[in-house]
Amino acid sequence: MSDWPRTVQPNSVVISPLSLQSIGLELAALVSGTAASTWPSACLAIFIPFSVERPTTITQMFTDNSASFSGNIDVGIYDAGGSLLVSSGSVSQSASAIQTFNITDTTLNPGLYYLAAVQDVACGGMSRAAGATASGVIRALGVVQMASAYPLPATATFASAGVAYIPIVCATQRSVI
Amino acid sequence: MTIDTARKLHISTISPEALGSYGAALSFGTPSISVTWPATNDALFIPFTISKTILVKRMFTCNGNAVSGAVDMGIYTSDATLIVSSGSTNQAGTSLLQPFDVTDTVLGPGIYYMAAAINNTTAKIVRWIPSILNHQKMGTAKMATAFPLPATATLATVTATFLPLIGIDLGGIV
Repeated sequence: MSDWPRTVQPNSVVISPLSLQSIGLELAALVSGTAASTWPSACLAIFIPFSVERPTTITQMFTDNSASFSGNIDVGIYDAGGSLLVSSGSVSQSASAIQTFNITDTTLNPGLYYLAAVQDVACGGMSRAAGATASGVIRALGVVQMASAYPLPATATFASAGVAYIPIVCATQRSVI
Repeated sequence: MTIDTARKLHISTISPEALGSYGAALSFGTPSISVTWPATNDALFIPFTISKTILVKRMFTCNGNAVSGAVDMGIYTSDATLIVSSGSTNQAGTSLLQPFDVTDTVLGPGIYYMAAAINNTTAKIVRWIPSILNHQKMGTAKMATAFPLPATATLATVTATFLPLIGIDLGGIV
């Protein structure tokens, strides 16, 4: 056993692609910022990796729908093997603002997971990481995708990212957004 | 031995374990896809630090908009001894991540270098352009006449403002 106590990284209140426990530092290096953009392809699900080092109960998810909204959206969380743990189910994208999804409270044990989002049209707006402008770069960050994935399937088949689009989909332990 | 399965599956140039904090502090920005490898047979070394045991399965480069010749990818100890490498592999596929199979290799906590060498100056790898001074501050290094990657590297100061997007895959999708 080590002579030194092992420190455990505390989880962010909000886990998103901008978090350190996701790809936030990489996006900072890319001087990313965020920008409003329409969903890249109808029924294309996008998965962003994140990890937790202590049990964390997620109570709500949310998106920033930015300047436009259309169609329906589904957000969720997958484990590292592609099994769906929780999702909102199909919900009408409702406003050009933060949209909250009150998911079933779900406790994540330490491990690797994916934030997931999909829209059933290619004209719904969402805030996305602006600096990740090439799919090759996005692949290096561990982001993956799945076509024909609306609503989010029970088991995802991860494929290499083919679009330069990282949606800012968020999961939180709080009831207040 | 316990393999850490709680972390993300890629360690790249801009991951927290490698140069991500420098990238954020120095504002690397959007990398270029259209710059050729700085010198034939040059190897570039990017330091990274892990605090838990990991299992390396593949390595990768993010190729630019032209490919040429061959690449060798590898991992070195902090004292520049080669642990594992892909061997000479043709560069293939523009503007995408190219995987390089390596023998599955366990790395314990410590400091390492991920390395890439290319045998020509036509090949393009996605890259940033930190200054030479900033390269030195980040701990990157180079070695000339290093294709294929040698068993023991002689690390030298970088001479080009070229920081490639390369990485290690722990079992994810490339």
